[in-house]
Amino acid sequence: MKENFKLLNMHFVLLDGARDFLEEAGPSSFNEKFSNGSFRMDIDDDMDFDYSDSDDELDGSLQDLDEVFDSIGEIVIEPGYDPSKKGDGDWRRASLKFGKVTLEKPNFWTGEKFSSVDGAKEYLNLLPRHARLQNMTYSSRIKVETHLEVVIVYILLLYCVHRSLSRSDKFKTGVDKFIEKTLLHEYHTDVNFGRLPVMVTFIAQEQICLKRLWVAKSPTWTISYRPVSKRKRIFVKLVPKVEHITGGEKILTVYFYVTEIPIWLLFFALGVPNDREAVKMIDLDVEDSAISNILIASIYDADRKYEGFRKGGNAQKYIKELMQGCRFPPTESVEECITNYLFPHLKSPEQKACFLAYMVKCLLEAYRGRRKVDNRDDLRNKRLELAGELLERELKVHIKHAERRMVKSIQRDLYKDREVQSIDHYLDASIITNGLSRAFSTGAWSHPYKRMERISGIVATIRRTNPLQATADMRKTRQQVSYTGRVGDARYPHPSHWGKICFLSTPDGENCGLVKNLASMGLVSTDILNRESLLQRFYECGMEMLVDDASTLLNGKHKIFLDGDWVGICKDSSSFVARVRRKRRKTEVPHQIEIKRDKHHGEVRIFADAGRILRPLLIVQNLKKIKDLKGEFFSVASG
Amino acid sequence: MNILPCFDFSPVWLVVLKVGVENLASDMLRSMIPSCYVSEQVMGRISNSVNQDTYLCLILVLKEMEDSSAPTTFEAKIKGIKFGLATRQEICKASISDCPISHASQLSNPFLGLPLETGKCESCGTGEAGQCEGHFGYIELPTPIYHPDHVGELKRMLSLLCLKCLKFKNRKFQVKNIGVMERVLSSCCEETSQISINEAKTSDGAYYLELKVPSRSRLQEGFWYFLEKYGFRYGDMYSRPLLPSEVMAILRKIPQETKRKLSAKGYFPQDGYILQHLPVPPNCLSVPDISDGISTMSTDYSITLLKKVLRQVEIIKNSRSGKPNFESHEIEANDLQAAVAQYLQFRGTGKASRDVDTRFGVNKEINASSTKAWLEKMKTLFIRKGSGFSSRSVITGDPFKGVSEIGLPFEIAQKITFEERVNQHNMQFLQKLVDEKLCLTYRDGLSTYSLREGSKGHTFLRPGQVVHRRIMDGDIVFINRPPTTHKHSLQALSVYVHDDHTVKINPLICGPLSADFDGDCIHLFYPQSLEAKAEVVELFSVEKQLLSSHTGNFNLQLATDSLLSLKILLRNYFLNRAAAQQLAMFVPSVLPKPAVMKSDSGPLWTASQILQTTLPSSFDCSGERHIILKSEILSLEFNRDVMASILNDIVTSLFFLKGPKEVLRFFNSIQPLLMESLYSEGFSVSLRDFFLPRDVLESIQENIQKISPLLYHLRASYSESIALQLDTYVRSIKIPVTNFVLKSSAIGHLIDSKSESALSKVVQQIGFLGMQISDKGKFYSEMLVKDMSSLFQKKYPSCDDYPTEEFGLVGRPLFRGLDPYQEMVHSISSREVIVRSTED
Repeated sequence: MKENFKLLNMHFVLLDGARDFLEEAGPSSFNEKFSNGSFRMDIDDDMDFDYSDSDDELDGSLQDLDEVFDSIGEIVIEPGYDPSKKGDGDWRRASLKFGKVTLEKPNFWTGEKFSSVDGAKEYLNLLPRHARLQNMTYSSRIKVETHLEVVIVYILLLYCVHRSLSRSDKFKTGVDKFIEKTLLHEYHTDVNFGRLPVMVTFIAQEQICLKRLWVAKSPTWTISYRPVSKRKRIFVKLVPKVEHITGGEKILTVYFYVTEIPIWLLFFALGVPNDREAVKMIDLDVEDSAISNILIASIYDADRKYEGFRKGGNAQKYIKELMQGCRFPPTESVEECITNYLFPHLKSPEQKACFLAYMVKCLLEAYRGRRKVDNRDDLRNKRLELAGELLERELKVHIKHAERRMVKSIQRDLYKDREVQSIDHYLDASIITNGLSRAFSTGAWSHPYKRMERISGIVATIRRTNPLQATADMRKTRQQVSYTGRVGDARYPHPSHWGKICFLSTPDGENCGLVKNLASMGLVSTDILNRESLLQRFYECGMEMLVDDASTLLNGKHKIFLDGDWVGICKDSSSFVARVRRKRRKTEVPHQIEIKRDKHHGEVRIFADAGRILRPLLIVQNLKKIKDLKGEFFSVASG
Repeated sequence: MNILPCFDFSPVWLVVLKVGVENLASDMLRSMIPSCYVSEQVMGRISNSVNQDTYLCLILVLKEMEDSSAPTTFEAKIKGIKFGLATRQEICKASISDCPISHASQLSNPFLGLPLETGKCESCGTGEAGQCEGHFGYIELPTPIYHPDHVGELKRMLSLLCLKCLKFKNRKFQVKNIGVMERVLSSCCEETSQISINEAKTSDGAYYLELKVPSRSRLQEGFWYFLEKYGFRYGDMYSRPLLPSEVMAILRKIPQETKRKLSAKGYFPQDGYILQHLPVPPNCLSVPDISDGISTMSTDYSITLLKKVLRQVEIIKNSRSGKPNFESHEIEANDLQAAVAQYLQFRGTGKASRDVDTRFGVNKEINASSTKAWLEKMKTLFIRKGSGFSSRSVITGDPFKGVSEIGLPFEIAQKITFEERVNQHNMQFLQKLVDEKLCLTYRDGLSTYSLREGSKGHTFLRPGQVVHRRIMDGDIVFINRPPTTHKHSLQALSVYVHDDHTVKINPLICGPLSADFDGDCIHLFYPQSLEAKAEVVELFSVEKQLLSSHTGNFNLQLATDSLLSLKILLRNYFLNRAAAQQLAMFVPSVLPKPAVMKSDSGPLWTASQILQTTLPSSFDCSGERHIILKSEILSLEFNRDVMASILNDIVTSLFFLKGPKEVLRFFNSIQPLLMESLYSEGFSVSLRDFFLPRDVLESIQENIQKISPLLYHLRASYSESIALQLDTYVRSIKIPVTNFVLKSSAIGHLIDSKSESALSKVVQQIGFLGMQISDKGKFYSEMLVKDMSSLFQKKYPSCDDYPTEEFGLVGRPLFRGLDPYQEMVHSISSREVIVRSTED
């Protein structure tokens, strides 16, 4: 979000100095091309300290607001089926859709006396400095287009109910199908506290990154694939076996969607023809007895529990039984479940089976010690949630609340003897406004996944002793832990903090080491919107598309992951990576992309998501050609 | 509201009332006793644990109104106060009009008092906001309901009674499997002895009572018919709900004797348990609707809930046709109760404290361990408290003022006041203060008059008035330094006013406060009342807190500057006339004759002579290293290492022989003296004191490298003995450094050479950092240590075998600079120290 950019680019003072230094230390002293490309950071040319004097900050927030309202989707309001209020006629229903979101510029009303004078305007523009100096609330209205439709439902065939717009007869019922465009009012506040003119800043929240395959050792050996939506999460676990089966001590199970399935069953449900193919997909050395024991045990376990699952269709039937047996059985069929929720970005079942096999391979390698278990404290596994995401979450909670009240009040009016009025009548904008103000003033923000709980420490006032302190206050990050006490290594500096987070400055007290400050050269990445063009570039650099043939997929090729999703393969990862990096330096690929080549495991991991902390990298080439260096040649430990 | 026997000293009475009805109470009392004056000072809250109501205490002052013109006032004497739940009649009487509120628009009726959007208050006719006290209204409920907050209490009370004959149940034989004979003998009514009362809850959240018999017993026909006398004949199952109207009838019919027995147990049957009227609070107690012209910004949620209740009432009234039967009564009662319960939950006194945090779900951990309980308590008492009589400021040190004094800047002293009541003895003094414009306000009766702005003419004080005068020298205040919360972090000091801008304290006080002058702030509190002042002086003053209650040591000890000065003074030992006379100005006694009468530079005094002038007269003290007889120092060991302990001994003997006042006087005279001597003598540390000789440094590096194979083995497989060996070896490497520090460097004067930790800190600065991280016994995990090793291997791949830094033993001192990897390792170790200190 552009807004986040501006918030973080306040260290123009330091960056400027650094830029000068680098420009000086450039070609003249090193006699070689100084690769500026890799040192590019978007330093804003807006040099005003009071950055918010420009109106651009409003534009940046719109995009996220759009998403919030879009994610609500269409609200269907059913009539409350109360027979005492029905009257004659049929049930009416309403549906509400949200359209475009616009933000008004903040302004204040000048009052009767002033505006009645000739030539005076009724509403004046409010700038942040006015608000700060005069203790006013700086807020802007959010206007949302809403479409409200009221329709009649006809009951066909006694049991099936469907909505039919064309049949709503204006004559008979007197109810019209009317679409209304109305505006929703709301306030987006930037709150002033007390008597001191202060502004409030968001403290970035540190969260664990969900966008990679996560290998964990405790409580059980697990590898997880965790997209944001909970339904699409897949966990493969090594659990100790319960019954007496030949083979090793542990078996593999998959936790998918709502149930736990033995892995061999899922393989066959995905269309793997026989056991040998499955083992080939896993692509591990079966000479290792521990691994083969586990695989044998898993096969036997599946065999014992589910008779004849290898024959066509049976595997899916068993899975269906398992799913129906759980607490909230899904409404879709097994095929639909698999298509929609099991690695949805991979199109064909063979690819899905390949990926699942790959997950098994990683887990077993970690179990045997050949792969490192992921470290929770390593900064590459962390993402920072900035102002945009936090506001979005809070706004969602309040909008949902307002929506519930609105639905209830519209429901009351859907009965026969009452008219549905304009949306102003139902939607209580003060819920959203007051909710946001309360969140800002008490500092209690909505919890990311627990609904009723609130977390504190998200907003803090900026201290204005001098510009440096104000800037530093805006660059704080915080890690939330749910208990005080031993939190493992979270409080200590980690080698991965180098260049990204200052490992010296932290408050002492109960949040020692949990509240950190961004390093002076550190930036936080933002979301890359245009994924399609990104993939296009990768194809240009030598990535091959995923095909349905398992053997071409494996065969010694390296896998390419984008944000944890498998998008392609390539023969030679080093050249692919070099090409992508070259493109990045020429900014043909967005420069916030992070590329990591894992030679050992044959992976190339590319990250383009928001919240990563970036640090500058200086590329110095051809150092050996410099004749001026006296004495021994010391290798400069780069970055 | 009834009056119970209470405090009996007229003219002040203590009235205890339920929260929310204070206006009501004052109205009523005023109407009963016209000559009384009710002051609504809230004295505190009492929580009645029985039925969880909170009550407010009002001060009721029966006072003669001055020039009261009412000739016929009854002389009434309050004989007692009783508290209880408001009954229907009381609610009616308290409300302003006899008509109940029946429509939602009447909820912000002008009858309910100001503030209104337009117009005057209809009940009392005033238009000004401060004059109208607010008037209550009420809503009449079509069917009585249980009071939502007291259903539990009601259940407990009713379960003590036998419902058929309303006599006290004989609790002794509650066992189920007893013979018929015993049961007949013991209980009053056989059939009802097995009935138990339960509190049940509907899905809406309404509570109701129901009677149950155990399902094992046989249920006869007409079992429940004994309840007919309370209104309804109903029920043929094992459980039967109990209607509020029935309970009302039960409560009315309870005989006197049962009531007495119940009150002995603490239960009082009263009508208020069943609500028939719901009081509506006046307009001044609810938040008005704010609108910005386009949409409503905020409404009072309680009005919404009251509207819901009214709607429910309307629904019930509309749906009635004829006399309702039992079941419809039940449904109506439950619906209505759900609505009323919601309203009371939001508005009423159902909870003891309106914590905003709990309402919005912020989770606060309650720390129950006793070690932290004191901390929590202190925090609530001091850390977050600020009032009109407290201030907070940065501190600086001033050793030339007394230990028990605190310097207040003029700008603070101007604004804070102490109050003094004018009486015959101090009238002249206070009048002088008023004339010199040193007082801010004075209070005469109810009104406060300002003495600063616009005072026309001269103000003459009269006895009985209360003057608020500015803080002057000699007043007692007490300070606390947050976040320190132990007992000695509160000290009472006497004020002197000065013209600078910070608060000044003596550096010796910094010990118990654990303060330093790097920007620390302290909180000052100004006790206003005489009792508070007395408490402060008796409990917190410096003399009373000389001995630490934790360790028994002295709270005030000479440290840092003063100790350094003492060491230097004793090192120089001889002072010429000018220096001696300069120092002698700080002590009360006369300078003795010089010890050396004649020398090249004139008569010379010794340091001991100077020191002994600070001691009080006829003081004896002796120890291993010193002998003092009749305030003369006969022998003193001059080693700088033992100075601190010798001084401690002297102070201890002073305390026990002469008393705390003498100790303070001793400090007050020795500290300025030492500071003056330091100022004139001077002391500096130069770069030379930090430079270890080159050969020492190099030998350290070599020795450290020698140990690296040991480190590698230790890391590979831990063993106690190897760790111990490593430890002693590292300690032996330290020895040349400590020798340098203590013998050839000025730093040796600054530190306490007996203290291991002080020495090792200096060694870290100038010698070598030492073992920074280890994988055992630390708060961080081994994973971090392994990550650091792999970082080292990545950065320095071409290093020789087993570099010690890979395992955390850094061989460079801070003075020589660290490279990034060493810096990172060092930061891990210092972070661990911080975490350890905060976790304790």
